[in-house]
This record gives sequence, structure tokens and C-alpha cells, in this order.
Amino acid sequence: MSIKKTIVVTALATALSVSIVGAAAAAQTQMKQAIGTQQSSLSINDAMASIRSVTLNGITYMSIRDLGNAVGVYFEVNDKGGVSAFFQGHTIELRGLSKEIVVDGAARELQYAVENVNNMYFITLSDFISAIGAESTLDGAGQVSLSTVQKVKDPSRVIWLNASSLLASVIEEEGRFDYIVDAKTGQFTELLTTTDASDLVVAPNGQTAAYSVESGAVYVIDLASKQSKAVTYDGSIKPELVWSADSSAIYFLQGDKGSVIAKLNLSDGKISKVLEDKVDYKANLSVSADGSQFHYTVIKPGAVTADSSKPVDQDDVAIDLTGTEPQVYRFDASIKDGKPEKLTATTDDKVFVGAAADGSKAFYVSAEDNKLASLVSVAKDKTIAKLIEDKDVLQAVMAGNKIYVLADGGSSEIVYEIDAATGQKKELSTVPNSVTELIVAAGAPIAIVSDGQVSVDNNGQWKKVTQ
Amino acid sequence: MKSKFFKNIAFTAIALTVAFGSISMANIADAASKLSGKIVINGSSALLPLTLQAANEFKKLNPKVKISASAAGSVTGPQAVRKGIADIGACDWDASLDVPGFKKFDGQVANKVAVIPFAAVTNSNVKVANLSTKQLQDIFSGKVKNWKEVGGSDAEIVVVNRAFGSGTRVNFQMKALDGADFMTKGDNYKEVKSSGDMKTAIETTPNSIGYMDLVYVTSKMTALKINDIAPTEANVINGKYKVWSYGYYMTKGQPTGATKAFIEYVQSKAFQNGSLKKLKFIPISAMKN
Repeated sequence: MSIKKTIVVTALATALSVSIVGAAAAAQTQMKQAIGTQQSSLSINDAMASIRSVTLNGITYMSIRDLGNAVGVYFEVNDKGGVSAFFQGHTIELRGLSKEIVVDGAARELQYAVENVNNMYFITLSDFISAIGAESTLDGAGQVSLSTVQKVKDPSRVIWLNASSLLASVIEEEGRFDYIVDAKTGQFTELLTTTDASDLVVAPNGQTAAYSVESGAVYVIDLASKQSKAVTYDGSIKPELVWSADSSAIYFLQGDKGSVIAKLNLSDGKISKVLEDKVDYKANLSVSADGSQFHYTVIKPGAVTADSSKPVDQDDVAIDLTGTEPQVYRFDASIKDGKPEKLTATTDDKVFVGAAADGSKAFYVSAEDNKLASLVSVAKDKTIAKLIEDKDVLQAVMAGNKIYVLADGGSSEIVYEIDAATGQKKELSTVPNSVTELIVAAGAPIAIVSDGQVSVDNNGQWKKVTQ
Repeated sequence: MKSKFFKNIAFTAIALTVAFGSISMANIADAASKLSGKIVINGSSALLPLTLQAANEFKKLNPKVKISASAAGSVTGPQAVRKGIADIGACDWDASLDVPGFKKFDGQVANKVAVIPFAAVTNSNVKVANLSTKQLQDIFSGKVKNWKEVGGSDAEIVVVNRAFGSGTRVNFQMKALDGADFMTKGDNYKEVKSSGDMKTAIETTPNSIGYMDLVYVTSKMTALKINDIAPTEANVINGKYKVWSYGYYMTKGQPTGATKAFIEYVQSKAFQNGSLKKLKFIPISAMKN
């Protein structure tokens, strides 16, 4: 539908205050006059706004004009006896005393009809929010906040870039879109659009991020200039990229089976092998700050016995899964001709969390049948210690030398912070059961994923930053 | 002292995005962390790296789901499911249907998880870059025994075949050889049991020819054009190159519980266009048919 730009805004203000209305509209519109209005205070896009309101039959209505002005709605009188509101590329048509609104040409119904009071249109806040597609929050003090900031929708992955920005990645059939998201407002800017890039891995210096493409080439993108530069066109598969602590090199597992640990120097693009021991299916590479200690997991596929000479319908196949649980390995590259050391040999399932910066310990979530999942550390001398064993560990992530744990607390989930060096545990907070993931980084606030949406701790308030 | 600030935040905060379109399902951390269960996956060696990569990622979101994987050729996947010793049978063909050499596995459901291109490959010493379907049929049946008969050097051809039960073999026979039979014995004939063994055999055996998933092709071998069409992802997607198949996760009936959640993870946009592509498979959504 084309928008008639010829109608000036002043006409709109008039229509919204209904001081002059067309004859037909006036006939339809039964005004409720001489009802006193109050001023309500709302936080709209992080700024306080004073909105006129009235209470009719116990229902609070707010001035459409005031709300619209506060969020930046553009109004026009339309030829249907009402007004059209234009907001963020959408058109909303509404009329006084009518529950029906038309959004982008499709009719839908409000919970309460728009009221005409003292020559002004009023609407309930929930209907207004619904109509323009805003988000609202109600804090513990009863303060309503309304946000119309457009946010990244349905990100597949969100990580911290630095203390004030997140990286949100959206993967669609047509490609991959990476956005830098303001952690306070949710406003975002595009960083990178590609068809075949891997997840971006942010360098410890926070200035660049690395990614590989289908050909195997590795690129580094400058987060400020948004310019990417190829650092190698090596065609090998690189399932995981891990930055060195000084951001000068990238370590990676090489090959479809992740058999080799390799190092890519960014200054000259040269690749060298750190470890090639013919052991397949390495994963979860972690490198110590000095680049000498490597931790990773190895998973061994099950052994299958099958006699292909027998008829297929005899199903002569057997699977031996003995010893197929993931195990944690450590490799000390500072020892000449050193061999990787298997730190664990237990039969629990292990989800690797990370390793201490000095390489002294590795951490994993241990899961066994009919037992609570626990957070476990394993030291260089293979000493295993349980750091959390009285709660079911749902997720554990590492940031710097801290481990953040989301644990089952019954009616709500508990967030713990563990000091990787001492193992000291601190209960930080409780969050609703809907929280499925913590997003953490050293020096950044905690972010949570709840019902698929990311919220950031903003001085004790959860600020939603994605949709 | 325990902070209570999280509790003060009303999670009644609602995203009322009704008016401007449907609320699509969020795809970040969809999986419930409390999901538990045990999944055993067996079958195609071609799909094993993909399965293990997906398992590693899935378990980070679902630490209480244990996933074990093994491979011994595609047919052992649906066999293991039918026998009740695996929850998922990884198979390079739709085993719920009859294919040459194998009857359908009744009651099993084929869940597409990847597109797998296959390539005819030779040892790097072979000076032939292109073969027609007829030439491939003649070589793999043993009728043509010397590379000079197809434009190469005067050297005896060593045929390396996958053992019976391999999904790669089924697909190569159906799509590269147009259903023609393989030779089964001879001085210059070898059979190998896995994709990895095929890679080793081709890399180390002069004058050899075999076939494998495109992902396994290395710089130490040559991936042949077939009928002048190169085995590339682009040629698979644009329909010019015919030697490919879907990879399937076969399940006994519709999958449920942790098995269902894992299959959905592998089929998700994030995995298909992320790790799956990184491992040089093609997303299932890329294909028009």
C-alpha cells in the first residue's frame, strides 16, 4: 500500500486530538468529555516520558499521541475516518471506538476499543505495545519500561566481544550474518555477511576475530574497521580455532577427524604442526597462556563386528562400546619429544569446559546414569576433584580464570562462580527455570538465554538484547 | 551474601511482537538442558566425523545425554537399529526403500541429515583426469585393465572397491556406474572396509582407482571428472554432477526424546550451515529435490 505523503503531520496531530474531524468521522466518534486526565510516567527506550492517561471503567488508557510521539510514530489522517500510524516500516490503521486495527493490511483486534476522551484518542498500553510490536518490562518497583529498539532476531549464537558489546550470529539459508550488539540497548550493526564462514572466534585482545571458510582458508576480521584479511588459504578442514593468549597466532585441530594440533602464525601465515600422533577425533582444544600446555578430549568410536558374508536380514552385527567415553588429554609442548598424557580413564560421560590459563588443571562436566551431573577438575597429576556435586550441573562455561555454572536449583536455577585456581565456589544468584544458557566473558556482565532470547545483567535488571 | 537481584527482575516481561509478524522459534539453545538419555549411533563411516562433531556440540547444551558412535559401513546402521542395539542407523541411502543389493528395512524412518558428494579418485601418478560412465563401468567391471585404454599411461589399473554393505559403494554403483556390476576378484583388485581405508589405499597404491566421499579427497590423489563434470559442491547443487546422495539417520519409527532432539540439532540451520559445511558436507536445504 502506498503512503500518501501529501498529508502533513499537523493534520495528524489534529486528528489525534480530534479537535477537527471530518463529518463522517465525527458522526461515528462519540467523545467522552470532561474526564480528567492524569500524567503517567513510562520509561521508553531508556528515557522517561510523561504520558497522559485516563481511567474508564477501571481500565487505564493512554494518549496515543503521547505514546506515539515518545516512540517516534509518524501519524497521518486516513480516508477511513481514522488515522494511520507509520512505524519502523509498518503501517497501522486505527479508529476511535473500534477494537479493530489493520496492521500492514491485515485486520486484527485489540483487547479494548480505542477511546475518544476530551477530543483525544486513548488506548491501553498493552494494546499499544501489541500494535507497534514493542517490548515491555515491569521491574520489581512496578516501573514499566517500553522498548521499540529493533533487535537481532533468532540468533543461533551469541558471545561477548568486550565488556559492552556482544556478537550475535544469525544463520539463514542464504547465508550467515554476524552483528555487533550494544549490550545496554540491543541496538546492532552488521559486522560480517558471508555464505560459508564458521563461527567467529574473538581474539583475547578484543580487536579482531577469526573464522574459516569452506575452502579451509582462515580470515581475521578487524572488529573496528570490519575489514577481513585472509591469513592462510590452506585447504585442510579446521573444525576448531583457538587464539593464542597474545593474539598473535591461532591454534587449530586439523582434518575432518581433528587428528592434528596445528599452529597458524598470523604474521607470516605459516602453519606448523604442534602434535601429530595419529589419534583421531580430538576436540575441545584449550591452550595455556604461554602456549605450551594443550588440553583436549578424545573420543573413541565403538568397535563393530559385522560379517558381510551373511545375509543382511540376519543382522549379524555387534557393537562394543567399551571405552568409548570421552577422555581428557594433556600435551606439554615444552618437553622435547613429549607424548600426550591421558589424564582421565573413567567411564563417566565428559563435557569439556576448559583449562586453567596456566595449564595446571582442566575442567569438565561429568555425567553418569542416575546421578547428578557434576563439575570436575583434573590436575596434571591426574587428581580428580569434584567442584560441584550436590546440584545437577546444567551448563558450565569458562571466562578467564572463572567458571560459571548453571545448576538445577529446583524451582529456579542457581548460578555459581568457581575460581579455577582455588576451586572456591560462590553462589551468585538464582535465575528462572527458563534460563538454558549463560554467556560470559572476563570483565563482562553475565548474559543469560531464556526462551531463546538473550538478556544482559544491567545493574541488577535483565535487559533483553535480542528477540 | 547471596544476591537476589535476579529475582527482582520480573520475567513477566513480555515480548509482544504479535503485530508485525509471527514469532519464530528461537534457535539459540533450544534444547532443554535437563534432557537426558543415551543415544547409540552406528553405520556409515562417511557420516561418522559429522556425527561426532554434532554430538560434541549437542552435549554442551545437553550434558546428560550420552552419545556413542561407531561405523562399519552403512548397512550395519539400519541392521543395528532393527536388532535394537542402536537408536540411529547412519546410512548413505534411504534404507526404508529397496536399493540394488538391499531390501528395505520395514518400519524404519529415514531422516535426512546431509548431502554427500562422491568422487571417483585415482592415485596421483595416474594421468587421466576425466572418465565417461562407460569407461568407469569398464574399469570397475574389469573389462578395461590398463590406463592406456582410457588415455593414460601404459600401466595396469588397480581397482579398489568398498566392501559389500558400504553406502558409498551402493551410491557409486547406482549413480556413477549406472547400476553396472563391480568386478569381485583379481590380481589387481582390492576391497577395503571404510572410507579411511580407501583413502590410505588410493594414496599409497600407484595406478589405483577407487571412490569416496568428496570430503575424504586429499592432495595426494586426483578426483576425476565424470562425463566432463567436476565433482564439486557447486556442480552437485546445480544438478550437473549426479554422483551424490543424502545421508540419513535411520530410526525405528519416528524418533522420540533425546534421539529426536539430536536429529533436530543436526538438521538445524545452525549446524547445517555451520559445522556441517565446515566438514565439507552440503546442507540438505541446498538441494532442490
